[in-house]
Amino acid sequence: MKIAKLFFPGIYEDAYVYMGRLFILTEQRTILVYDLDKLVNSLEQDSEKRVSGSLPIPTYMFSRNDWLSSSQFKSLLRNLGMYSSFLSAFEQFPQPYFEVDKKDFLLKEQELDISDPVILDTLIYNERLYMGATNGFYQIDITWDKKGPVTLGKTEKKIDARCLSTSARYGTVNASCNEEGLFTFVDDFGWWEQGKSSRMQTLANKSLKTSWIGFDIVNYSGYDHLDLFRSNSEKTQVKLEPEGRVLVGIDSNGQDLSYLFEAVQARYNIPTEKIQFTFNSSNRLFLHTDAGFLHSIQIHSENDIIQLGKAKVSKETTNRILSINSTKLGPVIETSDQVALVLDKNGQIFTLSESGALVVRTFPRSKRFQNMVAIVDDNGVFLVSLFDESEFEKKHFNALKYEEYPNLEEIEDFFR
Amino acid sequence: MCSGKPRGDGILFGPTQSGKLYLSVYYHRQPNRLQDKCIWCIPPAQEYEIFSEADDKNWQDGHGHYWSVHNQGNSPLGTQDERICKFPRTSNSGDSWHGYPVARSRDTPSDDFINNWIENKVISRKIGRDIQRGNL
Repeated sequence: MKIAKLFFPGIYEDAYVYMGRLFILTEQRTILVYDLDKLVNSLEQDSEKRVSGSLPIPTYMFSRNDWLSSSQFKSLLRNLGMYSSFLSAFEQFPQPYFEVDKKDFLLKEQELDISDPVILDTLIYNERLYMGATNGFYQIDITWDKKGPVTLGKTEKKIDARCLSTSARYGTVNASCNEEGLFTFVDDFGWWEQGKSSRMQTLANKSLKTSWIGFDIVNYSGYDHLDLFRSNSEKTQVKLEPEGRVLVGIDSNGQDLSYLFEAVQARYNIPTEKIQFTFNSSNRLFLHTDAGFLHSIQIHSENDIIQLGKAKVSKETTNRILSINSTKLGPVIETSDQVALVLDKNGQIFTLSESGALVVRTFPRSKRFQNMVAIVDDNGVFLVSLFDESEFEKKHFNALKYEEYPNLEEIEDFFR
Repeated sequence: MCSGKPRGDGILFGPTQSGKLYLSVYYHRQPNRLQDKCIWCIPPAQEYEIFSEADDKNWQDGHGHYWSVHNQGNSPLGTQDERICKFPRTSNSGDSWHGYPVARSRDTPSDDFINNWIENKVISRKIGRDIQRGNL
Protein backbone atom coordinates (compact mmCIF):
# COMPACT_ATOMS: atom_id res chain seq x y z
CA MET A 1 0.00 0.00 0.00
CA LYS A 2 1.37 3.41 -0.96
CA ILE A 3 0.46 5.97 1.67
CA ALA A 4 1.19 9.70 1.44
CA LYS A 5 0.31 12.22 4.13
CA LEU A 6 -0.06 15.98 4.43
CA PHE A 7 0.08 17.34 7.96
CA PHE A 8 -1.55 20.58 9.14
CA PRO A 9 -0.31 21.18 12.71
CA GLY A 10 -2.64 22.84 15.24
CA ILE A 11 -5.35 22.24 17.82
CA TYR A 12 -8.32 21.28 15.72
CA GLU A 13 -11.71 19.65 16.18
CA ASP A 14 -12.74 18.48 12.73
CA ALA A 15 -11.75 18.50 9.06
CA TYR A 16 -13.57 18.02 5.75
CA VAL A 17 -12.43 17.91 2.13
CA TYR A 18 -14.83 19.28 -0.49
CA MET A 19 -14.30 20.59 -4.02
CA GLY A 20 -10.56 21.04 -3.74
CA ARG A 21 -10.72 22.80 -0.38
CA LEU A 22 -9.83 21.57 3.05
CA PHE A 23 -12.12 22.90 5.80
CA ILE A 24 -10.72 22.73 9.33
CA LEU A 25 -12.73 23.47 12.47
CA THR A 26 -10.50 25.03 15.12
CA GLU A 27 -10.79 24.81 18.88
CA GLN A 28 -11.60 28.56 18.89
CA ARG A 29 -14.68 27.81 16.75
CA THR A 30 -13.38 29.26 13.50
CA ILE A 31 -13.25 27.56 10.11
CA LEU A 32 -9.97 27.53 8.21
CA VAL A 33 -10.29 27.03 4.46
CA TYR A 34 -7.20 25.75 2.64
CA ASP A 35 -6.72 25.67 -1.11
CA LEU A 36 -5.70 22.06 -1.73
CA ASP A 37 -5.18 22.60 -5.46
CA LYS A 38 -2.74 25.48 -4.84
CA LEU A 39 -0.92 23.38 -2.26
CA VAL A 40 -0.64 20.47 -4.68
CA ASN A 41 0.67 22.77 -7.44
CA SER A 42 3.35 24.03 -5.09
CA LEU A 43 4.32 20.47 -4.14
CA GLU A 44 4.56 19.63 -7.83
CA GLN A 45 6.91 22.55 -8.47
CA ASP A 46 9.15 21.49 -5.56
CA SER A 47 9.11 17.94 -6.80
CA GLU A 48 10.00 19.07 -10.34
CA LYS A 49 13.00 20.99 -8.98
CA ARG A 50 14.28 17.84 -7.28
CA VAL A 51 13.63 15.36 -10.07
CA SER A 52 12.85 16.83 -13.45
CA GLY A 53 10.17 15.04 -15.47
CA SER A 54 8.97 12.81 -12.67
CA LEU A 55 5.34 11.73 -12.44
CA PRO A 56 3.03 14.17 -10.61
CA ILE A 57 2.58 12.18 -7.41
CA PRO A 58 1.11 15.04 -5.30
CA THR A 59 -1.61 15.52 -7.94
CA TYR A 60 -2.36 11.81 -8.10
CA MET A 61 -2.52 11.46 -4.35
CA PHE A 62 -4.13 14.71 -3.16
CA SER A 63 -5.90 16.38 -6.04
CA ARG A 64 -7.10 13.68 -8.41
CA ASN A 65 -6.84 10.39 -6.63
CA ASP A 66 -9.73 9.18 -8.80
CA TRP A 67 -7.20 9.00 -11.65
CA LEU A 68 -5.31 6.30 -9.78
CA SER A 69 -8.26 3.96 -10.04
CA SER A 70 -9.12 4.82 -13.65
CA SER A 71 -8.74 2.14 -16.29
CA GLN A 72 -6.42 4.42 -18.31
CA PHE A 73 -4.03 4.83 -15.39
CA LYS A 74 -4.11 1.13 -14.56
CA SER A 75 -3.39 0.38 -18.18
CA LEU A 76 -0.34 2.67 -18.06
CA LEU A 77 0.99 1.03 -14.91
CA ARG A 78 0.82 -2.39 -16.52
CA ASN A 79 3.85 -1.20 -18.43
CA LEU A 80 6.89 -2.04 -16.29
CA GLY A 81 8.74 1.16 -17.22
CA MET A 82 5.79 3.35 -16.26
CA TYR A 83 5.30 1.42 -13.06
CA SER A 84 8.97 1.78 -12.11
CA SER A 85 8.75 5.54 -12.83
CA PHE A 86 5.69 5.73 -10.61
CA LEU A 87 7.48 3.96 -7.75
CA SER A 88 10.59 6.13 -7.99
CA ALA A 89 8.46 9.31 -8.16
CA PHE A 90 6.51 8.14 -5.11
CA GLU A 91 9.76 7.66 -3.19
CA GLN A 92 10.43 11.38 -3.60
CA PHE A 93 7.33 12.26 -1.61
CA PRO A 94 8.33 13.20 1.97
CA GLN A 95 7.80 10.45 4.54
CA PRO A 96 6.24 10.00 7.02
CA TYR A 97 4.42 13.20 5.97
CA PHE A 98 4.75 16.63 4.41
CA GLU A 99 4.09 19.39 6.94
CA VAL A 100 2.10 22.29 5.50
CA ASP A 101 3.00 25.82 6.47
CA LYS A 102 -0.27 27.40 7.58
CA LYS A 103 0.33 30.77 5.94
CA ASP A 104 0.93 29.67 2.39
CA PHE A 105 -2.28 28.01 1.36
CA LEU A 106 -4.84 29.35 3.81
CA LEU A 107 -7.58 31.12 1.88
CA LYS A 108 -9.63 32.35 4.78
CA GLU A 109 -10.37 32.00 8.49
CA GLN A 110 -13.98 32.67 9.45
CA GLU A 111 -15.88 32.76 12.72
CA LEU A 112 -18.45 30.03 13.17
CA ASP A 113 -21.67 31.36 14.64
CA ILE A 114 -22.48 28.31 16.79
CA SER A 115 -21.90 28.61 20.51
CA ASP A 116 -22.87 25.06 21.56
CA PRO A 117 -20.31 23.41 23.88
CA VAL A 118 -19.28 20.80 21.28
CA ILE A 119 -19.65 20.27 17.52
CA LEU A 120 -20.40 16.56 17.24
CA ASP A 121 -20.50 16.03 13.47
CA THR A 122 -19.82 17.91 10.24
CA LEU A 123 -20.97 17.37 6.67
CA ILE A 124 -20.64 19.42 3.49
CA TYR A 125 -23.18 18.54 0.85
CA ASN A 126 -24.31 20.50 -2.20
CA GLU A 127 -22.26 23.55 -1.14
CA ARG A 128 -23.94 23.63 2.25
CA LEU A 129 -22.28 23.01 5.60
CA TYR A 130 -24.29 20.96 8.09
CA MET A 131 -23.28 20.65 11.72
CA GLY A 132 -24.60 18.41 14.45
CA ALA A 133 -23.94 20.00 17.83
CA THR A 134 -24.83 19.54 21.46
CA ASN A 135 -27.77 21.96 21.28
CA GLY A 136 -28.97 21.57 17.74
CA PHE A 137 -28.61 20.70 14.09
CA TYR A 138 -27.46 23.60 11.93
CA GLN A 139 -27.01 24.52 8.27
CA ILE A 140 -24.78 27.20 6.77
CA ASP A 141 -24.84 28.02 3.07
CA ILE A 142 -21.45 28.54 1.50
CA THR A 143 -20.87 31.18 -1.16
CA TRP A 144 -18.48 29.51 -3.50
CA ASP A 145 -15.99 31.42 -5.61
CA LYS A 146 -14.28 28.75 -7.67
CA LYS A 147 -11.02 30.71 -7.84
CA GLY A 148 -11.07 32.53 -4.53
CA PRO A 149 -12.04 32.03 -0.93
CA VAL A 150 -15.37 30.65 0.13
CA THR A 151 -17.64 32.59 2.45
CA LEU A 152 -19.90 31.14 5.11
CA GLY A 153 -23.44 32.49 5.16
CA LYS A 154 -25.88 32.87 8.00
CA THR A 155 -26.21 29.99 10.47
CA GLU A 156 -29.69 28.48 10.66
CA LYS A 157 -30.81 26.06 13.34
CA LYS A 158 -32.86 23.28 11.76
CA ILE A 159 -33.56 21.24 14.87
CA ASP A 160 -33.41 22.13 18.53
CA ALA A 161 -31.98 18.82 19.78
CA ARG A 162 -28.59 17.27 20.44
CA CYS A 163 -27.47 15.94 17.06
CA LEU A 164 -24.93 13.10 17.17
CA SER A 165 -24.46 12.57 13.46
CA THR A 166 -25.68 13.52 10.02
CA SER A 167 -25.67 12.02 6.52
CA ALA A 168 -26.94 13.14 3.12
CA ARG A 169 -27.69 11.78 -0.35
CA TYR A 170 -30.08 12.50 -3.21
CA GLY A 171 -31.02 15.90 -1.81
CA THR A 172 -32.06 14.41 1.53
CA VAL A 173 -30.34 15.11 4.84
CA ASN A 174 -30.58 13.03 8.02
CA ALA A 175 -30.00 14.24 11.56
CA SER A 176 -29.58 11.53 14.22
CA CYS A 177 -30.59 12.96 17.57
CA ASN A 178 -30.27 9.93 19.87
CA GLU A 179 -33.35 9.59 22.13
CA GLU A 180 -35.05 12.51 20.37
CA GLY A 181 -35.16 10.58 17.13
CA LEU A 182 -34.19 10.58 13.48
CA PHE A 183 -35.16 13.72 11.59
CA THR A 184 -35.01 13.60 7.81
CA PHE A 185 -35.21 16.63 5.50
CA VAL A 186 -36.54 15.34 2.19
CA ASP A 187 -35.50 17.36 -0.89
CA ASP A 188 -33.71 19.91 1.27
CA PHE A 189 -32.67 21.94 -1.78
CA GLY A 190 -35.93 21.94 -3.72
CA TRP A 191 -34.56 19.89 -6.62
CA TRP A 192 -37.88 18.22 -7.36
CA GLU A 193 -39.81 20.75 -9.36
CA GLN A 194 -43.21 19.17 -8.66
CA GLY A 195 -42.72 18.96 -4.91
CA LYS A 196 -42.62 21.09 -1.81
CA SER A 197 -39.02 21.53 -0.81
CA SER A 198 -37.46 20.50 2.50
CA ARG A 199 -40.16 18.50 4.19
CA MET A 200 -39.07 17.27 7.61
CA GLN A 201 -40.06 13.75 8.56
CA THR A 202 -39.47 12.10 11.91
CA LEU A 203 -38.60 8.56 10.90
CA ALA A 204 -37.64 6.97 14.21
CA ASN A 205 -37.78 7.59 17.94
CA LYS A 206 -34.11 6.82 18.44
CA SER A 207 -31.09 7.28 16.21
CA LEU A 208 -27.36 7.06 16.83
CA LYS A 209 -26.40 7.35 13.17
CA THR A 210 -27.67 6.69 9.65
CA SER A 211 -26.23 5.21 6.52
CA TRP A 212 -27.55 4.29 3.10
CA ILE A 213 -28.28 1.23 1.02
CA GLY A 214 -28.79 2.66 -2.45
CA PHE A 215 -31.66 5.13 -2.21
CA ASP A 216 -32.84 3.82 1.16
CA ILE A 217 -31.91 5.04 4.63
CA VAL A 218 -30.61 2.73 7.35
CA ASN A 219 -31.23 3.96 10.88
CA TYR A 220 -29.08 2.68 13.74
CA SER A 221 -31.05 2.92 16.96
CA GLY A 222 -28.42 0.64 18.48
CA TYR A 223 -25.40 -1.20 17.14
CA ASP A 224 -27.48 -4.35 16.89
CA HIS A 225 -30.73 -2.71 15.82
CA LEU A 226 -31.07 -1.42 12.27
CA ASP A 227 -34.18 -0.31 10.40
CA LEU A 228 -34.40 0.28 6.66
CA PHE A 229 -36.58 3.11 5.35
CA ARG A 230 -37.49 2.68 1.70
CA SER A 231 -37.69 5.76 -0.52
CA ASN A 232 -39.04 6.94 -3.86
CA SER A 233 -36.89 9.02 -6.16
CA GLU A 234 -37.21 11.10 -9.31
CA LYS A 235 -34.68 12.24 -11.88
CA THR A 236 -33.15 15.64 -11.36
CA GLN A 237 -31.08 17.86 -13.62
CA VAL A 238 -29.04 19.31 -10.75
CA LYS A 239 -25.41 18.75 -11.60
CA LEU A 240 -23.56 19.85 -8.49
CA GLU A 241 -23.84 16.57 -6.65
CA PRO A 242 -23.54 14.00 -9.43
CA GLU A 243 -26.30 11.74 -8.14
CA GLY A 244 -28.90 12.31 -10.85
CA ARG A 245 -31.91 11.64 -8.64
CA VAL A 246 -33.69 13.27 -5.77
CA LEU A 247 -35.71 11.52 -3.07
CA VAL A 248 -39.33 12.60 -3.14
CA GLY A 249 -40.78 10.44 -0.43
CA ILE A 250 -39.72 8.07 2.34
CA ASP A 251 -41.84 5.30 3.79
CA SER A 252 -42.24 6.13 7.46
CA ASN A 253 -42.59 2.44 8.36
CA GLY A 254 -39.10 1.07 8.73
CA GLN A 255 -38.23 -2.52 7.90
CA ASP A 256 -36.57 -4.15 10.91
CA LEU A 257 -33.28 -5.64 9.75
CA SER A 258 -32.81 -7.85 12.82
CA TYR A 259 -33.23 -10.86 10.56
CA LEU A 260 -29.83 -10.03 9.11
CA PHE A 261 -28.21 -10.65 12.49
CA GLU A 262 -30.07 -13.95 12.79
CA ALA A 263 -28.86 -14.89 9.32
CA VAL A 264 -25.31 -13.88 10.24
CA GLN A 265 -25.47 -16.14 13.28
CA ALA A 266 -26.93 -19.06 11.34
CA ARG A 267 -24.64 -18.73 8.34
CA TYR A 268 -21.40 -17.46 9.79
CA ASN A 269 -21.65 -18.50 13.43
CA ILE A 270 -21.36 -14.95 14.77
CA PRO A 271 -23.69 -14.58 17.78
CA THR A 272 -25.47 -11.22 17.93
CA GLU A 273 -24.39 -10.67 21.54
CA LYS A 274 -20.75 -10.92 20.42
CA ILE A 275 -21.13 -8.08 17.92
CA GLN A 276 -19.49 -4.94 19.24
CA PHE A 277 -19.93 -2.54 16.31
CA THR A 278 -21.97 -2.48 13.12
CA PHE A 279 -21.78 -0.36 10.00
CA ASN A 280 -22.90 -0.69 6.40
CA SER A 281 -22.13 0.69 2.99
CA SER A 282 -24.49 0.20 0.05
CA ASN A 283 -23.11 -3.26 -0.66
CA ARG A 284 -21.44 -4.43 2.56
CA LEU A 285 -22.34 -5.04 6.17
CA PHE A 286 -19.42 -4.66 8.58
CA LEU A 287 -19.53 -6.40 11.94
CA HIS A 288 -16.82 -6.16 14.57
CA THR A 289 -16.94 -8.80 17.27
CA ASP A 290 -15.76 -8.96 20.88
CA ALA A 291 -13.01 -11.29 19.63
CA GLY A 292 -11.63 -8.34 17.64
CA PHE A 293 -12.28 -9.50 14.06
CA LEU A 294 -13.95 -7.31 11.46
CA HIS A 295 -16.32 -9.27 9.24
CA SER A 296 -17.24 -7.75 5.90
CA ILE A 297 -20.34 -9.36 4.40
CA GLN A 298 -21.78 -8.59 0.98
CA ILE A 299 -25.39 -7.40 0.97
CA HIS A 300 -27.81 -7.03 -1.90
CA SER A 301 -31.51 -6.40 -2.31
CA GLU A 302 -33.67 -9.22 -3.69
CA ASN A 303 -37.44 -8.81 -3.95
CA ASP A 304 -37.19 -5.83 -1.59
CA ILE A 305 -35.43 -7.94 1.04
CA ILE A 306 -31.81 -7.33 1.97
CA GLN A 307 -29.88 -10.58 1.60
CA LEU A 308 -26.41 -11.63 2.73
CA GLY A 309 -23.71 -12.68 0.30
CA LYS A 310 -20.12 -13.78 0.67
CA ALA A 311 -18.11 -12.75 3.71
CA LYS A 312 -14.53 -11.87 4.46
CA VAL A 313 -12.80 -11.34 7.74
CA SER A 314 -9.87 -9.18 8.80
CA LYS A 315 -6.53 -10.96 9.05
CA GLU A 316 -5.74 -9.48 12.43
CA THR A 317 -7.75 -8.51 15.45
CA THR A 318 -8.18 -4.93 16.58
CA ASN A 319 -9.38 -3.24 19.73
CA ARG A 320 -12.97 -2.16 20.09
CA ILE A 321 -14.09 -0.07 17.11
CA LEU A 322 -15.29 3.49 17.65
CA SER A 323 -16.11 4.37 14.05
CA ILE A 324 -15.98 2.96 10.52
CA ASN A 325 -15.77 5.03 7.34
CA SER A 326 -15.80 3.75 3.76
CA THR A 327 -13.19 4.19 1.05
CA LYS A 328 -13.06 2.51 -2.35
CA LEU A 329 -10.29 0.25 -1.03
CA GLY A 330 -12.15 -0.85 2.08
CA PRO A 331 -13.34 0.37 5.46
CA VAL A 332 -11.20 2.67 7.58
CA ILE A 333 -11.59 1.72 11.22
CA GLU A 334 -10.96 3.88 14.25
CA THR A 335 -10.09 2.27 17.58
CA SER A 336 -8.85 3.85 20.79
CA ASP A 337 -5.25 3.39 19.72
CA GLN A 338 -5.12 3.45 15.92
CA VAL A 339 -6.72 4.33 12.61
CA ALA A 340 -6.37 1.62 9.98
CA LEU A 341 -7.53 0.56 6.54
CA VAL A 342 -8.91 -2.95 6.23
CA LEU A 343 -8.30 -3.85 2.60
CA ASP A 344 -11.50 -5.17 1.04
CA LYS A 345 -9.88 -7.70 -1.20
CA ASN A 346 -8.07 -9.69 1.46
CA GLY A 347 -8.75 -8.34 4.94
CA GLN A 348 -5.20 -7.09 5.46
CA ILE A 349 -4.86 -4.20 7.91
CA PHE A 350 -2.75 -1.11 7.14
CA THR A 351 -2.16 1.30 9.99
CA LEU A 352 -2.73 4.93 8.99
CA SER A 353 -2.22 6.47 12.43
CA GLU A 354 -0.70 4.91 15.51
CA SER A 355 -2.59 7.12 17.90
CA GLY A 356 -6.26 7.56 18.55
CA ALA A 357 -8.13 10.19 16.57
CA LEU A 358 -10.60 12.88 17.51
CA VAL A 359 -12.32 12.50 14.15
CA VAL A 360 -11.85 10.29 11.09
CA ARG A 361 -13.50 11.21 7.79
CA THR A 362 -13.55 9.70 4.32
CA PHE A 363 -15.14 10.93 1.09
CA PRO A 364 -16.20 7.88 -0.91
CA ARG A 365 -18.94 9.77 -2.79
CA SER A 366 -16.63 12.53 -3.95
CA LYS A 367 -15.20 12.49 -7.44
CA ARG A 368 -11.60 13.37 -6.62
CA PHE A 369 -10.98 12.17 -3.07
CA GLN A 370 -12.38 8.65 -2.96
CA ASN A 371 -9.31 7.11 -1.34
CA MET A 372 -8.45 9.95 0.97
CA VAL A 373 -8.79 9.94 4.75
CA ALA A 374 -8.81 13.00 7.01
CA ILE A 375 -7.60 12.21 10.52
CA VAL A 376 -7.80 14.83 13.27
CA ASP A 377 -5.74 14.09 16.35
CA ASP A 378 -4.30 16.05 19.26
CA ASN A 379 -1.48 17.41 17.06
CA GLY A 380 -3.38 18.50 13.97
CA VAL A 381 -4.97 17.25 10.78
CA PHE A 382 -3.49 14.53 8.58
CA LEU A 383 -4.73 14.12 5.03
CA VAL A 384 -3.88 10.56 4.10
CA SER A 385 -4.04 9.35 0.51
CA LEU A 386 -3.98 5.65 -0.39
CA PHE A 387 -3.01 3.69 -3.46
CA ASP A 388 -3.06 -0.09 -3.65
CA GLU A 389 -0.23 -1.14 -5.95
CA SER A 390 -0.50 -4.87 -5.23
CA GLU A 391 -1.99 -5.87 -8.61
CA PHE A 392 0.96 -4.27 -10.43
CA GLU A 393 3.49 -5.87 -8.06
CA LYS A 394 1.88 -9.18 -8.83
CA LYS A 395 1.96 -8.61 -12.57
CA HIS A 396 5.48 -7.22 -12.85
CA PHE A 397 7.31 -9.13 -10.19
CA ASN A 398 5.01 -12.09 -9.68
CA ALA A 399 5.10 -11.08 -6.04
CA LEU A 400 2.03 -12.21 -4.22
CA LYS A 401 2.29 -9.24 -1.92
CA TYR A 402 -1.04 -9.83 -0.23
CA GLU A 403 -2.22 -13.38 -0.30
CA GLU A 404 -5.75 -13.97 -1.43
CA TYR A 405 -7.91 -14.67 1.55
CA PRO A 406 -10.53 -17.38 1.59
CA ASN A 407 -14.19 -16.65 2.14
CA LEU A 408 -15.50 -17.03 5.62
CA GLU A 409 -17.36 -20.20 4.77
CA GLU A 410 -14.04 -21.86 4.17
CA ILE A 411 -12.47 -20.85 7.45
CA GLU A 412 -15.37 -20.82 9.85
CA ASP A 413 -13.95 -23.80 11.76
CA PHE A 414 -11.16 -21.50 12.86
CA PHE A 415 -13.61 -19.45 14.90
CA ARG A 416 -15.37 -22.35 16.58
CA MET B 1 -5.47 -1.34 48.20
CA CYS B 2 -8.21 -0.95 50.79
CA SER B 3 -10.03 -4.01 52.04
CA GLY B 4 -13.75 -3.91 52.56
CA LYS B 5 -16.22 -5.71 54.77
CA PRO B 6 -18.47 -8.20 52.96
CA ARG B 7 -22.17 -8.01 53.73
CA GLY B 8 -25.31 -9.42 52.17
CA ASP B 9 -25.62 -6.98 49.28
CA GLY B 10 -21.99 -6.12 48.59
CA ILE B 11 -18.64 -5.12 50.08
CA LEU B 12 -18.55 -2.02 52.26
CA PHE B 13 -15.58 0.36 52.06
CA GLY B 14 -14.69 3.63 53.72
CA PRO B 15 -15.10 6.12 55.01
CA THR B 16 -13.51 8.42 52.44
CA GLN B 17 -11.69 11.55 53.56
CA SER B 18 -15.00 13.39 53.54
CA GLY B 19 -16.67 10.62 55.59
CA LYS B 20 -18.61 8.80 52.87
CA LEU B 21 -19.17 5.04 52.98
CA TYR B 22 -19.09 3.08 49.73
CA LEU B 23 -20.79 -0.20 48.90
CA SER B 24 -19.50 -2.22 45.97
CA VAL B 25 -22.81 -3.86 45.18
CA TYR B 26 -22.93 -7.45 43.96
CA TYR B 27 -25.60 -6.77 41.34
CA HIS B 28 -23.19 -4.69 39.30
CA ARG B 29 -20.82 -7.64 39.22
CA GLN B 30 -23.17 -10.42 38.14
CA PRO B 31 -23.88 -10.28 34.41
CA ASN B 32 -26.90 -12.57 34.62
CA ARG B 33 -28.75 -10.34 37.01
CA LEU B 34 -28.69 -7.17 34.92
CA GLN B 35 -29.86 -6.65 31.38
CA ASP B 36 -28.33 -3.21 30.91
CA LYS B 37 -24.76 -4.53 30.81
CA CYS B 38 -23.28 -2.07 33.35
CA ILE B 39 -20.95 -4.58 34.97
CA TRP B 40 -17.61 -3.64 36.53
CA CYS B 41 -14.49 -5.27 35.13
CA ILE B 42 -12.21 -3.98 37.91
CA PRO B 43 -11.86 -5.32 41.48
CA PRO B 44 -14.14 -3.89 44.21
CA ALA B 45 -11.20 -2.23 46.01
CA GLN B 46 -10.27 -0.33 42.82
CA GLU B 47 -13.92 0.62 42.38
CA TYR B 48 -13.76 2.21 45.82
CA GLU B 49 -10.49 4.02 45.03
CA ILE B 50 -12.08 5.49 41.91
CA PHE B 51 -15.03 6.67 43.98
CA SER B 52 -12.66 8.15 46.60
CA GLU B 53 -10.84 10.11 43.91
CA ALA B 54 -14.13 11.52 42.62
CA ASP B 55 -15.05 12.48 46.18
CA ASP B 56 -11.63 14.03 46.95
CA LYS B 57 -11.61 16.04 43.71
CA ASN B 58 -15.29 16.92 43.94
CA TRP B 59 -16.22 15.56 40.51
CA GLN B 60 -19.86 16.15 41.28
CA ASP B 61 -22.43 17.45 38.81
CA GLY B 62 -25.28 19.86 39.40
CA HIS B 63 -27.62 16.98 40.35
CA GLY B 64 -25.32 15.75 43.11
CA HIS B 65 -24.06 12.67 41.23
CA TYR B 66 -20.35 11.88 41.22
CA TRP B 67 -18.55 10.76 38.06
CA SER B 68 -15.11 9.26 37.64
CA VAL B 69 -12.59 7.66 35.30
CA HIS B 70 -9.50 5.49 35.64
CA ASN B 71 -6.13 6.23 34.03
CA GLN B 72 -7.48 9.38 32.33
CA GLY B 73 -10.22 7.36 30.69
CA ASN B 74 -7.75 5.15 28.86
CA SER B 75 -8.63 2.02 30.84
CA PRO B 76 -11.96 0.28 30.68
CA LEU B 77 -14.09 0.14 33.81
CA GLY B 78 -16.84 -2.15 32.59
CA THR B 79 -17.21 -5.33 30.64
CA GLN B 80 -18.51 -3.36 27.63
CA ASP B 81 -15.39 -1.16 27.58
CA GLU B 82 -17.12 1.64 29.46
CA ARG B 83 -14.66 4.39 30.36
CA ILE B 84 -16.64 6.48 32.81
CA CYS B 85 -18.65 5.55 35.87
CA LYS B 86 -21.46 7.16 37.79
CA PHE B 87 -22.10 7.28 41.53
CA PRO B 88 -25.72 8.43 41.83
CA ARG B 89 -26.68 10.80 44.61
CA THR B 90 -27.89 9.00 47.73
CA SER B 91 -31.38 9.56 49.08
CA ASN B 92 -30.12 10.33 52.57
CA SER B 93 -26.82 11.90 53.57
CA GLY B 94 -25.87 8.94 55.81
CA ASP B 95 -26.51 6.27 53.15
CA SER B 96 -23.59 4.45 51.64
CA TRP B 97 -22.81 5.31 48.01
CA HIS B 98 -22.62 2.90 45.14
CA GLY B 99 -21.73 3.18 41.45
CA TYR B 100 -21.54 1.53 38.06
CA PRO B 101 -19.89 1.99 34.67
CA VAL B 102 -22.06 3.77 32.13
CA ALA B 103 -22.53 2.64 28.55
CA ARG B 104 -22.08 4.89 25.56
CA SER B 105 -24.70 7.48 24.77
CA ARG B 106 -26.94 6.35 27.61
CA ASP B 107 -26.14 8.25 30.78
CA THR B 108 -23.21 10.61 30.65
CA PRO B 109 -22.28 13.82 32.44
CA SER B 110 -23.11 17.15 30.82
CA ASP B 111 -20.96 18.53 28.01
CA ASP B 112 -19.72 21.34 30.25
CA PHE B 113 -18.71 18.76 32.89
CA ILE B 114 -16.71 16.78 30.28
CA ASN B 115 -15.19 19.98 28.85
CA ASN B 116 -14.09 20.89 32.38
CA TRP B 117 -12.45 17.47 32.74
CA ILE B 118 -10.64 18.03 29.41
CA GLU B 119 -9.50 21.50 30.47
CA ASN B 120 -8.14 20.14 33.75
CA LYS B 121 -6.51 17.20 31.97
CA VAL B 122 -8.52 14.62 33.88
CA ILE B 123 -9.18 13.05 30.47
CA SER B 124 -7.71 13.68 27.02
CA ARG B 125 -9.60 15.65 24.39
CA LYS B 126 -9.97 12.44 22.41
CA ILE B 127 -11.58 10.53 25.25
CA GLY B 128 -13.79 13.51 26.07
CA ARG B 129 -15.05 13.87 22.51
CA ASP B 130 -15.62 10.12 22.23
CA ILE B 131 -17.79 10.27 25.35
CA GLN B 132 -19.69 13.31 24.06
CA ARG B 133 -20.22 11.70 20.66
CA GLY B 134 -21.52 8.53 22.29
CA ASN B 135 -18.63 6.41 21.01
CA LEU B 136 -17.45 5.41 24.49
